[in-house]
Amino acid sequence: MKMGKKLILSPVSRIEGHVQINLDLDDGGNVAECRTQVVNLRGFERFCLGRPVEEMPRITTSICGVCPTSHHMASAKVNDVIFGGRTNVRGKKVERAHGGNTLCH
Amino acid sequence: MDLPEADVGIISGGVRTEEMKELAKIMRDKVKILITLGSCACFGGIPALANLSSKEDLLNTVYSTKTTDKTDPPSVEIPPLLDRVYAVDEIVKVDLKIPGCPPAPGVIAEAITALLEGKEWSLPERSVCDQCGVIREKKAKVALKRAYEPADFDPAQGLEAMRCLNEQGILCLGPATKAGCDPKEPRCVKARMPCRGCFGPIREGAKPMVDMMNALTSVGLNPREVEDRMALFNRYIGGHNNLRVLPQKKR
Repeated sequence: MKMGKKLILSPVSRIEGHVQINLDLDDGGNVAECRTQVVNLRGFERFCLGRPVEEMPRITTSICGVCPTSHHMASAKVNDVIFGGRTNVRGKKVERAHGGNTLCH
Repeated sequence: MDLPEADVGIISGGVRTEEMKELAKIMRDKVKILITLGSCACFGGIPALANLSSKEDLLNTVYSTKTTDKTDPPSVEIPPLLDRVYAVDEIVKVDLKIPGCPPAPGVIAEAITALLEGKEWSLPERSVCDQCGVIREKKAKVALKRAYEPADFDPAQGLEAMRCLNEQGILCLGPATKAGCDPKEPRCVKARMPCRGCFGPIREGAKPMVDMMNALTSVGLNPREVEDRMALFNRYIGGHNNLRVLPQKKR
């Protein structure tokens, strides 16, 4: 197969992690194929298994540097469900302010 | 890959793929002073918990789940994974290490200022406990609890009015962790949460696993009761061969 030009956008910024976009161009300069590739595998899916669930809020925050709050809150809420914790009104307000803060940055 | 020459280069993140390894080596050649910023670059960090499982195990878990069709891991144009997660200083020589998850702003400023003035800089070899002002009575009052149980403290008063978390039965990695996350008192303990060791071992090459066993025994707790202690005591320092694939326990 005759290969045309190849464009590689790497790294894709403003997302946390490692993504690159590969564009294969044909001879006419049109896009023949486009691939979005995640070039790293960290394996949170694997190593979160077997850890105590109450440690999750401080492990899953490292999934993403843009939205650690979301991961923290999600795991904290899971813990609330599992251990039957209830958040009081002031706590709920802090949670919301915290979540809103993430949206802003 | 080509990088411009520079006086100072900063690497954040550990080394997981061949590409990153290559990049670290190129960067070493091109910069005069190489800094690792953050616990991932210094010790492996949270992603180095993956060192508890083999590469094949990771790929199998991610690419064949109960709810998705089984696919083969992609191979075209993807840099191959290394056998485990490495800290940057296992691959190349590092001149300055700034640990922390996240690194404390004060520590970064201190390190960069020292660099500009041409001085040597490293964090003092003190433990988080040396810096922590809680009440210690050298004897745990209860057995170990699970981490979700709240500490006993008065929110209106400072740390000097709270009993040591380890003595309260809430496992804290302070005894085996380097101080420096905050100039005054440890950040997590200030928020009444136990330390999890993001600043790494007190001395280069110290083993927090051993230090923590000693610290717990000395206050009368049984370290064998700690759930998942391998991963807990080495939470942020899975590089440097601190975490490895262990043979499966027979049940």
